[in-house]
Amino acid sequence: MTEIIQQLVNGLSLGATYSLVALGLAIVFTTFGLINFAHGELITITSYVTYGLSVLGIPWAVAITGGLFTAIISAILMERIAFRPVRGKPPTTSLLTSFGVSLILQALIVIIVSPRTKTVQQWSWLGGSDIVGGLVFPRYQVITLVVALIALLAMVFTLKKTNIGLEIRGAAEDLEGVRLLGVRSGRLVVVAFAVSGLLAGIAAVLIMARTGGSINPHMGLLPMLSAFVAVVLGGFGSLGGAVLGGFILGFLEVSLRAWLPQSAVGLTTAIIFAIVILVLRIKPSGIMGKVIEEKV
Amino acid sequence: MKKVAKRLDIKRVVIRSVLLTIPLTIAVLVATGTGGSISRLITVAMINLIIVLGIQVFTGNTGIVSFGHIGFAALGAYLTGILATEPDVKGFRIPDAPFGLSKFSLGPVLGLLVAVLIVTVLAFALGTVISRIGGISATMVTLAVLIIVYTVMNDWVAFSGGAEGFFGIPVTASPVLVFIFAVFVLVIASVYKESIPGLRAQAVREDELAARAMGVSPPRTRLWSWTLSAAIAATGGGLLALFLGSITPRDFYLKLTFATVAMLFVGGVQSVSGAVIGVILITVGNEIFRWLSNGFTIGAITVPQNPGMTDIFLGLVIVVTMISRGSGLMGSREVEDFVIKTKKSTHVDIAESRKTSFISEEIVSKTLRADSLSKSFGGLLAVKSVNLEVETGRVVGLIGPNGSGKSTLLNMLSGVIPPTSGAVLIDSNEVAASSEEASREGIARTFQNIRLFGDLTVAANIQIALDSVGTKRANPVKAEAAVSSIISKLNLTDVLDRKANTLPYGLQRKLEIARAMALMPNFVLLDEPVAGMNEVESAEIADVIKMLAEDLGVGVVVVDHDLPFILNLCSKMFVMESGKLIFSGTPQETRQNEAVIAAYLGSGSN
Repeated sequence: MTEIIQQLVNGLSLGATYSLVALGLAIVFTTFGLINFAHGELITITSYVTYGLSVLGIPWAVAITGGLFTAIISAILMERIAFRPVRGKPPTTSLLTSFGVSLILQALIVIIVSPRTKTVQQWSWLGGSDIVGGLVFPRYQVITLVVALIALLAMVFTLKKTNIGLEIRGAAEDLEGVRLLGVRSGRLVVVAFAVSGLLAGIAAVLIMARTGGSINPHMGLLPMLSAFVAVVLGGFGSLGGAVLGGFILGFLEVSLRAWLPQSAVGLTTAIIFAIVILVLRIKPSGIMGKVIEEKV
Repeated sequence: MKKVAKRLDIKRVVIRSVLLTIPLTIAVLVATGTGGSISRLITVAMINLIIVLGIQVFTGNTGIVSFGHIGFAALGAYLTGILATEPDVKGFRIPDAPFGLSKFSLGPVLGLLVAVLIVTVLAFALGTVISRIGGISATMVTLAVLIIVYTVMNDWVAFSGGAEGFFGIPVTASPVLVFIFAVFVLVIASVYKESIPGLRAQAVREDELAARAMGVSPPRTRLWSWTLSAAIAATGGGLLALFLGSITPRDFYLKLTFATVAMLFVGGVQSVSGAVIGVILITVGNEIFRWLSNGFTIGAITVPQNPGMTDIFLGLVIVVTMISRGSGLMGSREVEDFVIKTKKSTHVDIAESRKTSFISEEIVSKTLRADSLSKSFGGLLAVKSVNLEVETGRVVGLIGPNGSGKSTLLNMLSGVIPPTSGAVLIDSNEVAASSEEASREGIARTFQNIRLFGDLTVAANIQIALDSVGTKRANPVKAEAAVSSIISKLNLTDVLDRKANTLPYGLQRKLEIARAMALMPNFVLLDEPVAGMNEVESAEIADVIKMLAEDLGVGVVVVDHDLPFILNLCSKMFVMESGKLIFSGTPQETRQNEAVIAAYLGSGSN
């Protein structure tokens, strides 16, 4: 029982992190029609900027703020430099463009910093645990969960209550329709990329907390892939589906790691992705995906 | 009587294969002449070509980007390696392999064969999921496939030897053997692209809805393409194992994925020739950047060693290709397009085909009926209990203001959308609500917003439809003669070799009619056939529609806003307003009916 509760917290915490990444992907997809393969590099960039600033002796809290800020700027620059020229082309074209951007950014980090793993000095308090009612909770898990939930709630509030949120949700429903209503889609896209950068940045901070500050040039890959699969599982074009998919993936990962025999733990990712493919066998449009009826 | 288009243009395939074999021949001669690292580089490049062609067969024809094929190459390599290696060698790496794999060896030839067979079966099973998804979601699933394979190879140590890889595979693949396989795969990819199954996949890529209306099943088409291409990729992987003698999971992960994507797209994903060009360009470029990344000195400037240089090169190639054209250097062209002049490949004999019925010798009399069809979207009732009837050999008109439900009714009649209630009947048999089913039952259609297979030739557009039902109708020869007659009537004879999206608007509309008629239907539904046409063109279309009904015995439903055109053409009119049928009768009665006049004048529409 105690173990179940601990795993539950762990699952929620990892799931919330994936949800942040997946929501960022989904927001860009709904407003721009782009599946951003370079989304994971926003996580990597945040981590390396945080690392660079802490090496210079800047306090951790300031360093992560710098990391978040860089993530937002990087996302906007990505759109401006690489993605805007392929706007309106088939989704495959923009996907492959982001594929190339991802490769270039990883290579740049290898060239500028190092191909090897580095460690970010973090707030040491994060490494501890709290004992509540006989249960041991690693602090990073609790903090991750709290921060991720606050970020998700803030996003929900923004999407539901503000004008720009309304426009983004409208775009998710019907991008052409929103354009016809006179929404400046250019501004919408910039905001969407900025938000996706911020969400990826927050996820990066949480991932660093989880891994004890260990970072490498390819660290963005697995969270991004999981987020991709979360988006597909939740249903393309559905923002709620992305969040749901993220939580499901987090839970699956934590439970499989806990219950699989030691020799099979390495196969966790493979098993999760196989389960997702089976779900899609039953529901090809994803859990919350709608079948899009084309205008004939 | 010649066919509208040849089923397979052998000449094209032969010329292409010969031309593309030239650079491969030079490469293999250099490889066998030099040996050492150059030979190795060239042979690996030819193996990469096999894998890239495998991906091209799927991605080029269906338009779905796949990362999963690198996973199939990995599986092919590992299975070949494990099956081909001698038990005493395997004992060291994987003594506890499952299925007793460490106890026996099949040898390289049988090993490769069995490995490819296993991967093909696995790919087929996976394909049943992916082919139903389609589009960009399918791409994401293929990515999941790659990661699953990588994780299994990396972490199922008992089977694969784990991250350190598997070695001791008998090195049996020579450069010449790889060359032979590469040429063979080149021919397969070319034949597939030009054959009916390939054309069907391309039709689905161009317009899924129209493909279905032509009787093509998108999932089935994608599934075959996927399975064939997986088998090719697995062969490439198997050859790599037999050439290198050792493999690691990392050999088949993101680096190879990025490289093959760059090779495929820089040359042009829709082009087999493009794959060859892409492999050459990327291999050469990669070598140059690998050399540069070792550090060099120009005058006073010293550039230090940079391990990431080749990645930057690949990334830039991908981004620049996408931003500049998106379709690569070749687009959908092939090498032979620069050599052979396009000529009229088709001979159409009009005299012979006069007055031949599609259906059979005797006159078939059937009736297509909408039996109180209703459709609601959400809560909104778009069509309310409409009855409509057309007999073979008759032309009926369907008019009404914009938004009155005409297109929705047409969509239900042609199976594009299922009715909320009511049924579509031919005589007294219900027609299932799917486009493929409707087209098989003899209901063809055109679309209001033209939906051609834009990147395919006019002949291919027609051939796809002809082929999906052709042989099932009573007399295929006569039927094709009739189609030829329609083609010449519609002035499409001279443009058969042109791509559909290069035709002027009027001809595109005509091609849609010809394509629908190539299904040899009993009934054809024409959605605004003369929209945007001038009077001369309208008159031509009217002539053709009359011919369809009178000479070929087809029942025609015409939707249009051009009242003089439609009232002259039809023997009976149906008028809709706000989803309801408000009138039916002769054109004469229609002109005088108050309700009709009110509906048209009242709505402010013409």
